Amino acid sequence: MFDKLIGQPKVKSRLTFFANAKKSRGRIPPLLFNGAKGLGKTEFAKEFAYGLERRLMEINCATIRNDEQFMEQIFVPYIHDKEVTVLFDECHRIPVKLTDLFLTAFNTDNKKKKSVAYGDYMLEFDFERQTYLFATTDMQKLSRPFKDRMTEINFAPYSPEELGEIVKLRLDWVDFRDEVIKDISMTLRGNARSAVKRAMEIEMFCDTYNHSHFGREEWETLCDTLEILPFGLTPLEKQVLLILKERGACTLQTLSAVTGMERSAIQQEVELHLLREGFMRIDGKREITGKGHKVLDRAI
Amino acid sequence: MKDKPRRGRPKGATSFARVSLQDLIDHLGPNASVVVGKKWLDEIGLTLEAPVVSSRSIKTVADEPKEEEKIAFSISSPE
Repeated sequence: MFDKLIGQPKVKSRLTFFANAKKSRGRIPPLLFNGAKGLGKTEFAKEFAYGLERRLMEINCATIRNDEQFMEQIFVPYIHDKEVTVLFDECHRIPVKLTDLFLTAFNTDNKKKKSVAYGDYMLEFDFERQTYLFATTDMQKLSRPFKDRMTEINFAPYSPEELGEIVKLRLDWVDFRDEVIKDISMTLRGNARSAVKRAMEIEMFCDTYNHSHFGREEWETLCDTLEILPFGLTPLEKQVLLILKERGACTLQTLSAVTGMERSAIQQEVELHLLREGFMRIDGKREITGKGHKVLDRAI
Repeated sequence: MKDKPRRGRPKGATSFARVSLQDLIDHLGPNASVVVGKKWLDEIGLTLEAPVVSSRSIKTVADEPKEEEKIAFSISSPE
């Protein structure tokens, strides 16, 4: 079912389990895909739907204003009485009234159909013909009752080897030399979407310079051109490390003053990756670590 | 003791001026809209009509259909 997709072995095994169970039990419980951006939630949802020989309808929940609009534009024309897999992307943005309706529809009883009264209508959720998937990057924003009705499928960051495979799969006509694929995968921050984007950049590079190979020299040229930094550091992260190196331990207020960024923006956009990778530590003040020094030396 | 500053309209001052109708027409044209006192209109026997132009403008704005907000979605099918 997931032959074309690399990584996420646990996700694959759980989804395959549900797909097989559907053959005997007829229905799949509503599934909640949980994970950071770029971990392949949508791609897995697509392959899952296709494996069930169904269309996938992907809805951007940020654009749902109210329950009435959802019923008129989506449920009645595309879901009701249809065979379809529906993915509610960024489901923490679903309006409260619609969430309440789903709470009734997705009660954990084992019925294959569920009729829910909505205004003057009786809506029918047919779980044999419809599969409901929800995806979010902000699990904590979902209400407890809503989460309780879902079966969680957690997406993990990709290993460098898996990311290298994704890049190579996209560029099967390119001869990667000098073990450069390792260096490439180390800049992708565990993110499959970044791997796909990097593959596109390499493809553009090879097309432009008429190369069918990509080695150390080509990689360094591409890094210089596109400002790709070691370990996938962003220019802002590099700037913060540089400030910490030059000034020593700093408060968040100092970093905010020097960079001109809001404190919350530094915390959310910059510090998370630096802390996760161990390039920085917070012990009252912000400090660069030995690992951070090494990375910075390579980035300068 | 100082006199208090006087308030209100000074004695003899008026808010209105007399002007010939022809002068107004010469100046503004025969189709111009002018502001007059309601009491004076009553005195000369003219009934007040609703301001047609402005009511139409309000109606037009109120009746303008709101752009329907669409939910963004995509549908993909197995090959």
